[in-house]
Amino acid sequence: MSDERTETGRHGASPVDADVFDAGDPVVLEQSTLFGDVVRRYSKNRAAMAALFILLLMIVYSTVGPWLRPWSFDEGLFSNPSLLPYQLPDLAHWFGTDQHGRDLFVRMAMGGRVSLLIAFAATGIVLVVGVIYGSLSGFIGGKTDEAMMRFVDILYGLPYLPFAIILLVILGAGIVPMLLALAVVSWLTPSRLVRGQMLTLKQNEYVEAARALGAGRSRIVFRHLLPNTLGIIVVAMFLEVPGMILGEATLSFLGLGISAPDASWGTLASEGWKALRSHPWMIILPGIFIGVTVLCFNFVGDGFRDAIDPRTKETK
Amino acid sequence: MTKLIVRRVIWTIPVLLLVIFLTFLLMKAIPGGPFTSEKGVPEEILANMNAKYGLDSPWYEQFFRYVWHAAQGDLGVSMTQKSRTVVDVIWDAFPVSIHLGVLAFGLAMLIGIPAGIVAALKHNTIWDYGAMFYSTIGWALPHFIVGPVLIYVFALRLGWFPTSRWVGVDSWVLPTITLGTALSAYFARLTRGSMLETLQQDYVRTARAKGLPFRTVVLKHVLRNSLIPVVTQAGPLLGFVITGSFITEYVFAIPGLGKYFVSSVSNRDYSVVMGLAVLLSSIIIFANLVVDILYGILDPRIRYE
Repeated sequence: MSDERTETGRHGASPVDADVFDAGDPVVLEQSTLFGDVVRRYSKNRAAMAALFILLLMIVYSTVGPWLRPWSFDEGLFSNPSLLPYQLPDLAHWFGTDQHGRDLFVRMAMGGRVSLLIAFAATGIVLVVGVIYGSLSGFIGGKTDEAMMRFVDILYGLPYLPFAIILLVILGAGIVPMLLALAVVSWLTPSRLVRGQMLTLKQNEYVEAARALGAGRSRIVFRHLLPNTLGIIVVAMFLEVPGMILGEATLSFLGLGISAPDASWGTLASEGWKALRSHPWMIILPGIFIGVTVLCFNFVGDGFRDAIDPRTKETK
Repeated sequence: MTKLIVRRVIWTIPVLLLVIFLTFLLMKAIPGGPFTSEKGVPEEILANMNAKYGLDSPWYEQFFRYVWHAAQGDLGVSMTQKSRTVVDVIWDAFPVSIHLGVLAFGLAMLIGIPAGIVAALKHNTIWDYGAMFYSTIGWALPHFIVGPVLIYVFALRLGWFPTSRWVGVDSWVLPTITLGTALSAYFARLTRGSMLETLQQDYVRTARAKGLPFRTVVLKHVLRNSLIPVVTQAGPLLGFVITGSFITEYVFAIPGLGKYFVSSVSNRDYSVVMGLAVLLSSIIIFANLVVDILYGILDPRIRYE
C-alpha cells in the first residue's frame, strides 16, 4: 500500500482500500474520516445520487402533497358534489380522480405517507431486533450461538406471506398491525448479517487489547463492536425498506392491510385493479410510484454498500 | 454422501414439528372461533360444534392429535365446506399451483440464465447493460402491477389471451409471465455475478493457458461451477415464488393454493388455513433438503464438512 494515510475514527474499521479510490489525487494532508470517505465515494456514483434525489422528491411529495390541492384525501362526490368520478389528469386534478371522485394527487401523497412510514418504521423495528439478536448470538458464541442460528435457519425457510396474513388476521387491520406483521417475518436477515459481522470483529486484536486493559463485556460490545457494524446496518436498512414497501402493498392489494378511505400505495393499487377494465390509469399510477421507489432504494442501498466497502463492487 | 442425506432427512423432522407448533399457536391466537357469526349461535349448539371438531379439549391435546393425524395424511375437515376434507382441497388446488410454479420457474430459467451468461461473457458491453437493465426493472416491479398491466394490454385491448382462469394453454401464458418476470430477473443477476467470479478463477486461466478454446472452457469449467449458487438459491427462492403465486392466482382467479388460502382466511376456515400453511412450509423444508443434497452432488467438498 503506497498511501500513508491511516484510518481514523473507529479503530479496526478499515474497509478502505487506498488503491481503489483517488489513486491519482494529490496527497491529502488532513486525515479523512470514514464518514467523509463514504460521502465522497457515494457522491461520485451518479445512479445512486439520482436515486437518492428521486427518493427525496418522493418524501417531499408525500409530506406536502396533501396541502397543495384544495381537497382532502377522503373528500368525494358524496361530500362535495362538484367532484366527478374517474377523471383523467387535467389542470384541476393533476393525477385525476378515483371511483368516488376523490383527488388522486392528494390520495397518492397520503398513500405515500402511509407506505413510507410503515416501511421505515418496520425496518427500524427489524433492525433493532436484528441487532440485538444477532449481536447476542455472535458475541456469546458457542452452543448458544448455534441454537439461536438454527432457530433463524428454520424460520428463514418459511414462506412469509401466509404467516404475515395469519398475523394480520390475529392483530386486525390498520397501520400498527401491518408494521408488526411485516416486522415479525423479516428480522432474520439483519440478525444473520450482524451475527456474522460480530463473529469476525471479535477476533480483532483491538478487542483483545480492550479486554487486556480491563474493559467489560458491555463496553466491548457497545464501544468497539457495534459501532463497527454500523456500515452493514445502514446498507441492510436501505435494502430492507423496498421489501417492506412491497410487503405492505401486497397485503393491502389482497385487501388485508390498510382499508379505505385511508390509503396506502397498495390500497390504491387494489382500487385501481377493480377499475382496470375501464380506467387502467388508476393502477398504473401507484404501480409507477411503487416501482420507482423500490428501484431507487435498491440503487441507494447498492451505492452505500459500494461506498462503505469498495471491494464489494462487481461481486453481486 | 449417504451419511449427509440421512443426517439432513432426520433434521427435517424436528423442523417440521416446530413449524407445525408455531402455526398451531398462531391459529389459536386468532380472535373469534370458526363458528362465531353475527346471528349469535346458541351456547349448546356452539358447545356441540366445538366438541365435534375437537375444539373443546386442552390445546396441547389438540396439537398432539393434529400431529398424529397429520402423520397419517389426515389434516381435518374443512369447516365451511362440510363435505370436504382439507386433503380434498389440497388435491384440487395443489396441482394447479405446481403447474403454475413449474411453468414460471421454467420460463425464468430459460430467460434468466442465458441472459446472465451473455451479460457475463460480454461484460461491460451493451449486452451486459441491457441484461442488467432488464434485471433491475424486472426485480422491482411487483406482481400485482405486472399482472393487471398484462391483462389490460394482452387480454382486454388486444384480446390475444383470456383475462383469467386456468383452463388451457392460452390461459397459462399471462400468469406464467407475471410470476416468471421477477424470477428471471433474479436468475439473470445471480448467474451473471457467479459467472464473473468464476471467470476470474485460476483454473480458468490455466485451462485457457493450456490452449483450450474459450468455448470449451466456458462449457466445461465455468458453467458447471457458476451454476452451483444458482441451484442453492432455488430453495430460498421458492418462498418468493409462493408469495408471487398468491398474487398471481388472486389476480387471474386461478384455483390454486394461494387463492384458497386467501379465501379461507376471510371465511375463517381454520383447518384449511392451518393445513395449507403447514403444507407450504413443508414444501419449502423439502425443497431445502433437495437443494442440500444436490449441493452435495454438485460440489463434493460439501460432503466432507
